[in-house]
Amino acid sequence: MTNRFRRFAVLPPLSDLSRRMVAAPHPSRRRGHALVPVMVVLFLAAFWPSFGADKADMESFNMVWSTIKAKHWNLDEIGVDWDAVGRKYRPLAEKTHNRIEMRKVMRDMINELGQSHFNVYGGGDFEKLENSLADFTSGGNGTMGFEVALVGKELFVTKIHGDLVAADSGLKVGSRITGHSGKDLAPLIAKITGLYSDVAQGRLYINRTLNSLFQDTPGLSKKLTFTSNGRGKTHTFKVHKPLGTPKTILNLPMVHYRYEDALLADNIGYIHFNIFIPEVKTQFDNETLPKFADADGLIIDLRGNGGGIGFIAVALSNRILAKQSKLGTMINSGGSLNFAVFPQKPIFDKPVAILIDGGSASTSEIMAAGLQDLKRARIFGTRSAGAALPSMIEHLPNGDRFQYAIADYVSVSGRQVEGQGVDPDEVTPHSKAALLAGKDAALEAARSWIKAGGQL
Amino acid sequence: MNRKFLKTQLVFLSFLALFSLTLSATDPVALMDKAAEASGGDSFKELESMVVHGNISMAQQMNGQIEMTMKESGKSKVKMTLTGNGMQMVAEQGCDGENCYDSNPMMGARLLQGQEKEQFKISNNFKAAYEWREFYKDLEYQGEAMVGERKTHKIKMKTSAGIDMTQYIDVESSLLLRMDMVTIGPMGQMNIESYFEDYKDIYKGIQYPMKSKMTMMGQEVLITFDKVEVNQPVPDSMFELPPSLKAQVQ
Repeated sequence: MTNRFRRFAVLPPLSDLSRRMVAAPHPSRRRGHALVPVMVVLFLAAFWPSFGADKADMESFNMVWSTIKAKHWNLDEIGVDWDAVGRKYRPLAEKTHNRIEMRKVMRDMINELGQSHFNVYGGGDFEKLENSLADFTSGGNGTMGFEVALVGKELFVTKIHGDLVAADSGLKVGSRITGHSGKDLAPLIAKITGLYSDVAQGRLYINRTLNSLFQDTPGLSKKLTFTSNGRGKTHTFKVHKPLGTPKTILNLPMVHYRYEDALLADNIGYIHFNIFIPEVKTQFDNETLPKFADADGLIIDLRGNGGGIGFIAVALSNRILAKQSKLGTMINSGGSLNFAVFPQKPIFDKPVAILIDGGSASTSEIMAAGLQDLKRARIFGTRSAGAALPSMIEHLPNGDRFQYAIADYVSVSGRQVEGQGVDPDEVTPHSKAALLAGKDAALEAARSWIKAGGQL
Repeated sequence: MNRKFLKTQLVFLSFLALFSLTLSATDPVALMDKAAEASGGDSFKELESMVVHGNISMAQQMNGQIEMTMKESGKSKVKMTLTGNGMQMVAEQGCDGENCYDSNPMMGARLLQGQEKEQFKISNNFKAAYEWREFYKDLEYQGEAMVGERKTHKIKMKTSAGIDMTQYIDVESSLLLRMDMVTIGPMGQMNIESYFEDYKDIYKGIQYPMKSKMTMMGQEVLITFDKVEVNQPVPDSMFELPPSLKAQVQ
């Protein structure tokens, strides 16, 4: 299993660059559960020979502790005595024997904050899940050409990418996938949903992990079992090169950027992109807006979009809002930074709908919450991830990466998006009936609203 | 008798001298004047334009080049070419002497207003230290404070637009080592700390900091200048507002 696979499939998914990308506490390292491993560690410590932690690992521990001490904006307000936390975890760190143990101590310490966007990336926890996933995919970022989502406990195809899925395969939107590589998927789905069910941003992890089952090394073939139109079928699918253009942004692992726009049959513009980077703004301004000049409305599909650079949400909103305003405010000890919108002509002044789901995080949420608060867009789909804090990612001396939030974020109406997510104005989850009819419930609802005049 | 009187006079004069020294050491106006003198004094009268080239370094390995062009009458332009890990952006800010703007491909062009405008004007006016009375008021001496290992005079002041500012002036050299300000504008309330070091004589005793570090919202921006051109011809057209803003102003 490659590191890349581990990173995207099991570890908290990458999302906002910020100001940056998102991640949340590792499920098994949340505050409530942290006591058990800590007690075990404390008990066993007496029996361990005193090898002491590796120097680079210890430096990493110190860097994590001191960074949070220096950069966290309101430790007092959230009631965390960070000095005491340091005193608690430093002795544990000094007794670690390897990087995995040190990573665990650092994560336990970080999760005393009880906030997302603080994490140490590196190897993997959740080893059992990783091992289970390894039965289905060997990692890699190639795609089988479709996306999936859970409806109840069943896995349905929700989107087919172009002609990447062979027409004679019978797989289409609404197909229910039941088997993968000769194995029944149900136990794995149960394991994934069970593991993430009580985790903040769990919807985000479930979405990413399930879709990662259909990603692998390009060139491989995978046998899937599914039902379409009530008929069971097994077909071997090719793994294609990843969609989009490879991009390396800031300190983050490479991502494949995708942007698509289309004028739908009912003269409604539709755009979808998977990350907020400057290219989105360039394409939106230069290609999409001219194309949609006479459209009756615009649908911005942020489903599965884990975030990106925060001010790109502002840069897009500059073309949607006619008056100077703000999407929200980032607050830290250095002041408050408004996500201020300064209208840029030409302004798209027709109705705007935004689609979100559990995979919409960070900058996606900042944009959706802001335009919802400003009564400029109607939101469709399902509740977003609730992972909105802006964060930075730094390299630790031992090679791991440390992500930490640098500020708090509130929407323009004062809502805390962190942990809560953005609730759609119209909750329109995928439904079995809609998918079987080849329809996308959220997209259809947004189209209907725009066709009805798009009143807010 | 005369000798006694002389002695008394000497004691009194010594006391007066000492008292005056103490007074001037804590008189913010005198300290600002001294800082103006140390920064170059009347040589500023001969300064007509200045172009400074350097490098800028930000968090997340965002780096780039910076070019600051300043001319008399408050004309200025700052051009930054930022690159880093797959991103590239050219951002500009400037003043035509009257109006100031901010422009970049992501956010478009906009006029700066209020404190945001004044902060830019002060930061990019090469005569701000010399003609400090035009910019600062309500000076208050707040004692000595350390900036790194240097002892400084801490002086609190207000700008015309109401920006709260604190300057830290080196006790020994009388040069500005640190400046804190809090600006309130459409981008929010920013606490900005700027540190200046590596002063060089750029023209007839005028001192310019070749290195500066700015901390804003917990993020650091480092600027290192490597070339300063003084009194080179700079056309006024360079400071014109972007076309979209010209119409707005008219």
